[in-house]
Amino acid sequence: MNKIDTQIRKIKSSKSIGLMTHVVVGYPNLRANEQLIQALVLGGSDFVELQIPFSDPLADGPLIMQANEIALKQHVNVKDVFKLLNNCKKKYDTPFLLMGYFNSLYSFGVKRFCEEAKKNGASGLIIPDIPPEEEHQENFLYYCFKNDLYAIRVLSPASTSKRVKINLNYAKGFLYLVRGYGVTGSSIKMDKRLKTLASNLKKNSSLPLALGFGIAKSKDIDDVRDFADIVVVGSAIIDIIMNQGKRINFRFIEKYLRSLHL
Amino acid sequence: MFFSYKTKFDADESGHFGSFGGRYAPEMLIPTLVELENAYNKAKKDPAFEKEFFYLLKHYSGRPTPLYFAENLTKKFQGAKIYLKNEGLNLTGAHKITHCIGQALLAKKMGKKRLIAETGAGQHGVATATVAARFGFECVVYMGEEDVKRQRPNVFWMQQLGAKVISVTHGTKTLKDAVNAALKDWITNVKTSHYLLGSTVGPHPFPSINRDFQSIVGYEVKKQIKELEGRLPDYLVACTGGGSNSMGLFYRFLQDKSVKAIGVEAGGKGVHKYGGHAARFSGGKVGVVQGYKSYFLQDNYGNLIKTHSISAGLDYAGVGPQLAYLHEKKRVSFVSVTDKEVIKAYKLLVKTEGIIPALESAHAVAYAVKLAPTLPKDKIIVVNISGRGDKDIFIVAEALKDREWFEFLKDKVTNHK
Repeated sequence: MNKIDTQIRKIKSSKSIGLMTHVVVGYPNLRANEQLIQALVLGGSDFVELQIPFSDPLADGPLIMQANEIALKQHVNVKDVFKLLNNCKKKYDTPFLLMGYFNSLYSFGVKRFCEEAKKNGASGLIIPDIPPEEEHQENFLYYCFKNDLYAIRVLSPASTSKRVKINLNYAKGFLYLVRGYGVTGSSIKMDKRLKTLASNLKKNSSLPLALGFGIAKSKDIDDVRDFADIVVVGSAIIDIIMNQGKRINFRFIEKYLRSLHL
Repeated sequence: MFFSYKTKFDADESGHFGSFGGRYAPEMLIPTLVELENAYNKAKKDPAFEKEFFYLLKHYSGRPTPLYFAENLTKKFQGAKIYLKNEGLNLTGAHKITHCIGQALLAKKMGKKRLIAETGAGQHGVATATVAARFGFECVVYMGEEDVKRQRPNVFWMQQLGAKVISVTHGTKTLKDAVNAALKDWITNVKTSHYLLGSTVGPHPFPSINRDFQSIVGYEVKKQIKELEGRLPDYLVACTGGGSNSMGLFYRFLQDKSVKAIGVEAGGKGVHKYGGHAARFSGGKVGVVQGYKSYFLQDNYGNLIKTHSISAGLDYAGVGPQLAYLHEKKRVSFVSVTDKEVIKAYKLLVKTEGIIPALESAHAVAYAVKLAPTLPKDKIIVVNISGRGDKDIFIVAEALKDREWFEFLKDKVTNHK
């Protein structure tokens, strides 16, 4: 059984909202990543996303973009991501997902990437720029399937019913629903029709919903509590680290996550 | 009808040119790309759309642009006849206005109120700001910080035209980063805004839409050269950044086997210098970035690398997917010229023909004058002068180390009120 499913069961039985947190591998640096992940797990993360740093992160706002740039300046690459993932696998039961952009996979080789991801302990992949229509060329979903990696489908308020249908055909684990129109980061406003969209998704799929983009405070979580099974906190963590400067207070991050009152 | 023209090198229904192109876009953008595709497919068959497009090209932009026999240049090199397609005579000084008019008409049809654009040299930004003023759109142009610095006059004109110019400070601070910023704005404002992408790049349907609008260039050349020479040309030469002017010139000739098409990439400081050029077909690899599959200058892990060119408009890590396909099919060949050769060619064209080319277009001239002397005198080369050089006044003056210009600038700064 995929670890993502096990975790979802656990969340459901606890009747609280699940938490997925986000790390840009190499930000602020590889060594700090290990301590950061520990803080995230202790802070209550049910899932952790490890982002492969990339030069052109299309769906990311300024904070994550800057984190990507800082990681790339230190020459952090896919191999470092796998190494970190492997260390995490040994330490935690928490499912890890790799997030990134398709060229990082394409350049490494999609088949090889999926095999390495599995081998090093990933449970799923979140790659926003590889829609199912390109499958005939890339075999991305095929290699995810072969390696028991869940290729998380990302939907947004912009998604038409046709797009929802296409994506549901391939969805596994959970659905990632973007809270509004925009890129990652706190400036994105929650869309008015989000609740309707969420209930439509629930009607058409038994998969839990992860709500993400711009979730930073308890209030943001309360806004989606009625229909979200999981919330994703990403940029907010990077924001804390950026404001802390050189010495990162990992305890503070852990406390911050606990203060979100899931 | 103009828009019903097809070739065997076109995209399939899902926007693939062979294995290139496609629509590698995040889900947030796919519905709007589908909307654009549908709007375009409908407009293509609408005679009123074609009529309005052609009306504006003729009466607003000033088409057809001349195909001019460069007699002096031809004599100088004692080889093939050189013709210049002078796109610099368009409104706003370059070919870019053509796809801006076309896309503005589509945006109007889709009920959009706001135009987003990226720009490198500023030519596409100025052209977008121009159609925004003409059609009453709000307009935002993203421009890399580096380009804002080197193409200041165009920033000024965009602002005069009512556009908001946003300097992009992320990444390499050039065209590719402006594209990213524009795409992000589009993701955020997709309901009200149209992204007026400025080249034959990006996710489907952009590469095909911009090619179709720009194909007016080759369409006119075909008529004009038949009138002047009674036959087709032997060579077409155009500079290649994203591909809008080269696809524009080549497209209507792709089915004519005797016509050779050559794209000239920016060789910058030399194609062997990592990060020192923008010659995708020399130093690039196939990848998937900014919504499409093509050749990109990238590192071993798929990150786009720094590019360099004296011309901001060619300083881009990717190339249009149809050109990648035509390269693979050996229908279009690619060469590159260095910054130094470009400056030389620029000076040459100015002095021999009295035409001031944009530095982008001077790339095409630089290659054409290498090619011409190797060919017999009865051969014909058509060179696309995609834009005029007014915008490059600061760069050229600096490259030529023009003392008087420097004094003038100093004086302007001191006496600026």
